[in-house]
Amino acid sequence: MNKYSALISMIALSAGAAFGQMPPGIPECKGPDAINYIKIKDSERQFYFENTTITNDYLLVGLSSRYLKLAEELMRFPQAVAISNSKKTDSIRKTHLIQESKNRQSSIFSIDEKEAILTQWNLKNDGAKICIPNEFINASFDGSEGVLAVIVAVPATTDCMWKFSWATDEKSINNEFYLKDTCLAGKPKMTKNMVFDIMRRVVLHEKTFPP
Amino acid sequence: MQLLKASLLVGMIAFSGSSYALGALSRACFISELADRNLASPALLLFRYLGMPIEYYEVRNKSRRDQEQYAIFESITTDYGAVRYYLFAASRVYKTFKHPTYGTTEIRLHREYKSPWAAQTLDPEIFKDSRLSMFKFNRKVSSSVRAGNPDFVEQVGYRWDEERRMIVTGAHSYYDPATKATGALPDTSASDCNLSEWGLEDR
Repeated sequence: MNKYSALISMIALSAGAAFGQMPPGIPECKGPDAINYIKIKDSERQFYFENTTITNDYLLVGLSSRYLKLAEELMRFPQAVAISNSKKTDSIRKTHLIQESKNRQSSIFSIDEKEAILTQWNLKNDGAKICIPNEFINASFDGSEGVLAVIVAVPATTDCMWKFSWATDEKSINNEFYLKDTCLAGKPKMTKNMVFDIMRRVVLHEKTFPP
Repeated sequence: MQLLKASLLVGMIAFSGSSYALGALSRACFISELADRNLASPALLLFRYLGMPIEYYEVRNKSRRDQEQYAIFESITTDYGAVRYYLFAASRVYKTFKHPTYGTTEIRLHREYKSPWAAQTLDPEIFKDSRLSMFKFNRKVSSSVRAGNPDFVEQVGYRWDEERRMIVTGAHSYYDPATKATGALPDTSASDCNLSEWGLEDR
């Protein structure tokens, strides 16, 4: 601790609240918890709704085709560990564990020959926080509300991916579940119920055999 | 585009032993401090590749006294992979000075920088020069954004009351475009090159 440490603290105290804001045009995230639910302001609609359509069951979001290659990208990380102690005939098995940071990990599963990813990030332990607009909450899982999206590539291909994010552990852990699917004219092959059945099995497997 | 690529590379000066890239940092780094650690030459070469003006590259040949006038001020937000979250960083650079009456050390805002709202992964083409191998480490798959001077290095002039010591604070945000969560990592701050600190896990 030197005199500059004290000055830094002073800057944080005097300017931190204002400085922590998002840049102009980017919604600000404030709230008491690690995971907070917010109302969208009119000025923020364009930001949130870019390439996004709300359907009855999910958000349809157009993103870079790289997003659909998340599993391949995770497997390339230096800390990705391939797991081989499960039988290939198992209907569900964890194939990779990626400890992305002390408080964030991703597991890749093979389930019914499909590829799924489960990411869990303890935001509270990282001192981080996120804000989720209420109007995007469209599903619940194990008593927790969350956002279900189908991601399609721009420009479009037949590949697409489901993503569901929800909070657990008193809003301190953000969970993300990804499942690849095929889309025709922006419509996924699987239904929401099918995706949630698979997710339930993956989450149970992770709880039963934690990393 | 080239400057975006630079964001990761600048971040890689902080090549601590950590294998994680998730996080955020700030630095107020005078070239004289880098010279003490024999990093000035390769770091400036790297920046030169990325478009830093030639006059700053020549800083490596200047005296220590001169090098004390040149610095890198930046705040960086980084994550593994470019696909999941958009990243953002903002940086504020403060000068320190002596209060004329009370003799206390005070601060004065010197510069503000903002990154683009995006993330850029490393282009491996930049690493063909073997003199830059020290920067390779294992960051090939990480992505980052940088808030700092686009020339990387800047010359700092001082008023009569100002100390030769600066403070940088950084704000770090991210956005999940699929499920619409916006977020923020804790603010960062530094009064030196901050070479030992990398990301959240080293905080």
